[in-house]
Amino acid sequence: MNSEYELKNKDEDIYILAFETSCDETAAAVSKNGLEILSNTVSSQVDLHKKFGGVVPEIASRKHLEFLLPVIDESLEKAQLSFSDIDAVAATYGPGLVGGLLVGLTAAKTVSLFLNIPLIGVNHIAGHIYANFIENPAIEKPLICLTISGGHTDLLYFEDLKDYKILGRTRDDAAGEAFDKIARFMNLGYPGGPAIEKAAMNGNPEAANFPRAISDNESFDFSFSGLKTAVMNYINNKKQKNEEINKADIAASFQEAVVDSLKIKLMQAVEKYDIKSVVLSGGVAANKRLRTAVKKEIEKYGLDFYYPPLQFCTDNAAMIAAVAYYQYLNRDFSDLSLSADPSLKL
Amino acid sequence: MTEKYRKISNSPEETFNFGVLLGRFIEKGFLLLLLGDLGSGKTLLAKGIAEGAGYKNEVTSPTFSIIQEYNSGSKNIIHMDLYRLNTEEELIEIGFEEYLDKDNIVIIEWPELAFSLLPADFVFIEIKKLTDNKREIIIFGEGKQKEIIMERLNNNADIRN
Repeated sequence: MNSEYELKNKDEDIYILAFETSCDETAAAVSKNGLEILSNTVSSQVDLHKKFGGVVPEIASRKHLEFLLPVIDESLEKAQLSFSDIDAVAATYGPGLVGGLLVGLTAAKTVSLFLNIPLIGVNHIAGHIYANFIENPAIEKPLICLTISGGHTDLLYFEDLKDYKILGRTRDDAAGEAFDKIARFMNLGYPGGPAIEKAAMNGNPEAANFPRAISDNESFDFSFSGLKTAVMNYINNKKQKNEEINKADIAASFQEAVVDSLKIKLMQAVEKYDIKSVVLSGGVAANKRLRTAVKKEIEKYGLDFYYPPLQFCTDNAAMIAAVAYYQYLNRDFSDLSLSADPSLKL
Repeated sequence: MTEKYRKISNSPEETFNFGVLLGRFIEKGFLLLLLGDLGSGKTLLAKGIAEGAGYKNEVTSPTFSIIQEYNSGSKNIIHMDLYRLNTEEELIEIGFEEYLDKDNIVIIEWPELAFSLLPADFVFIEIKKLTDNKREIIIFGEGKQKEIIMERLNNNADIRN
């Protein structure tokens, strides 16, 4: 069926409309020739979460359904294009929450069918890697990418879309989840990453010696559950003994343990693989302590170091539109029977 | 029946191993509700249960994804975490009730929000923190599933003794 499409080649302008509905965000974007992002629309806002004093995830498929059409309209409008200008339509088909994935994927299939343009199913994790190229198209490959957010802790080796592999991931809690849970436990607010970072600014990172979340020396996997429990035990024990709890010190020591854990595994991978660049992505990559610590290590190896701007750190459709372009050039299309895969691997 | 099964775990390893044992004892249609504070070991116990039920791959925290599905070949396991949800409406909107299928094994962390939506038969597994590493795991409930688990755990204890 792919041969029925009128396809463009690399020397022509290619416009791709993409949807991302795998978790909390309802997002649509339009890319031109891959990395030029004409629009990038995301419906959810952290402000809303704050207002409700916790997380109000936009996980509900009905919420995605409600938001997706206006988000798509706005995305096309901002790009100053109409549906007839679009050369292919893409959607995240995994990993993520099945209800949300289905909404985005079904919308993409509908667009594909009605406009008779290719459907491109994109892996969300590949999207997070390509988010980096949007800002820095010149990043030299092969590279190692550490994606760290509320839902991901993925250490990846990446050569191109056909040659990449996961070196390690978390065995329990994601790095961002550990930040969120400790912040909530200490009543520091949400989201946990910035809250801990702020509290840690006046703290002593060596005040408490928390375990480094390292699985073992053999693998590149992470583990943050033990660290989380250790911090809680530390606080509970202090409370029981009626000792003063210095939130700044605890936040700083916890942050240091997370930063160290990430850094140690990342540097083991840098040591082992012959690469040109190192990339940090995902919401936790916004942590300045982490950036500084990693940068210092990377510079010793003379490698390039990148982290994307925050708008491309969180879930967005621009990164999906970017990946889809390269799949388009490879003629890597999906047919209408493509189903959502909540636990899709890279 | 108000009889409860109590198990002391002295380490994360013991908690995991007890999960494996529970996993061997449960069948399709079982609904396990895991109670316990942050850091008490709910996800660790769930990892053990999934392994005991035959699932070979890594089980990670479902806090962010809210619902994870594992297929062990013969059994389909739904692993949920309602920690991030705030209202029953959100729960209904994610399709919660559709996952409570009699063909699934369902494990729910932070299940409090779902109490009014649950069927009559389920098992509570509560993890109480005693010290930094020591936990008391308490199994209780009112229905047939709890009876089955209790019977199998007690028989297992008999064999061991």
